[in-house]
Amino acid sequence: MSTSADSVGHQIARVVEALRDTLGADDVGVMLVDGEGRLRTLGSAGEAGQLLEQAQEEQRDGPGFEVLRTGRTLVVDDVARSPWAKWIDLPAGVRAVLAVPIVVDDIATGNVNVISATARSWSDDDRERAEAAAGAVASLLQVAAAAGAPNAARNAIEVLGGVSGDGDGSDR
Amino acid sequence: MSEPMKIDRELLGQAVGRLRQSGIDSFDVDEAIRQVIAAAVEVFGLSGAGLMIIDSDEVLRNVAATDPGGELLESIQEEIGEGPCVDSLYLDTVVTTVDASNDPRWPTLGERLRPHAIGGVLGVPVRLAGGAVAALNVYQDRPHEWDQSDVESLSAFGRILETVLATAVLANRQDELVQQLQTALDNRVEIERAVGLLMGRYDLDTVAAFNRLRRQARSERRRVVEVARDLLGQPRS
Repeated sequence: MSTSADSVGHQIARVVEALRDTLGADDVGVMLVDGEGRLRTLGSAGEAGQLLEQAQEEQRDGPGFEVLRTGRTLVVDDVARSPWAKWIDLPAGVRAVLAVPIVVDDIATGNVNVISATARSWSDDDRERAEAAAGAVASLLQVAAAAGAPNAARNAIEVLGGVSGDGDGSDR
Repeated sequence: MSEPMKIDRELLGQAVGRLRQSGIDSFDVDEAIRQVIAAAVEVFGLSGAGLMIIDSDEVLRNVAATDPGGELLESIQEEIGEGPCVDSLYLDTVVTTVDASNDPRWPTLGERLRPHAIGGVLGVPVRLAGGAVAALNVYQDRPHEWDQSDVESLSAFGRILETVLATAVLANRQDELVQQLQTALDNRVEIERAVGLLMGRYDLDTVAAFNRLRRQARSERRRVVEVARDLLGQPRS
């Protein structure tokens, strides 16, 4: 029996952190819709992401809210030139944002926000990678829902889950 | 250095509860597996990926692949019982190769792969109940040096697959794949003991001992667990 299983939340964090690293971005954050239908911050890897998500929560608007409304990926190469520059107090360290929806079985559930501290032209490849990561997060959430709760999914892992300790490899 | 992400668990619980209230109380295991391995390929810009599992007879089976190359890599290893993914599963460890088509560890695999564009391969074990029951295999269409961040990042997707499979098994799903996994888990202890016995008796490594057991079962047209029980001197069920 595993004594060091990952929780669903931890796995979500690992996926989006991997996305941040593979895109060479400065930060990443995840927002989810809570039980009362409000978009809130699940977590962010760094300060810029935390400040962006916090600003959006406080002002009830921003790239994440736009994504939730439209269900489509939002690409902002330079926030200084975006609609949000005028009326959202976006924090320093957030200059470009790639926001992708998390959709579980056609239900808009949240978004993943990838952040660059400098203006950046997000490529189609960047967008596809981010959307794929959001898809993996959606799969995890769906499995957790099917299990009854994230704790139930975590319990499943603890009862039947693996043993951590990846990192061994034999290279040639 | 970037900070690890802290998660609001209370929000996560609410979000999941909201999904459940919206009627999401099940999931398609095969579809979830496909989505996760496709995501791994896309996020990391790989050429392809696949998932092999141990079935109820301790035989490796290809259950999902993202592309023809992934399908080929899996099916050859399934057929010959040799390769990085086989080793990853039986040795329960990450296995990497810069070029599977020219790796002296697996000469037969190399011969079969050489006409095809399959180079670097990385196998990540997927574990249930403390042991590997599957292997997530990813590849590049050219030689590729895998580094530690590749291993850690792709292992994260292996953990997602563990969540998918563990949840499905605990829910006693009737999908064929889940039933095979459950039986494999039930038979594991006896099979691993028999493998240990063969390793000691014939001075074999783990993979060779597994393959010897499987070959005997195949030649005698019996289940692997039955052969294992005979070796251990246990009565047949």
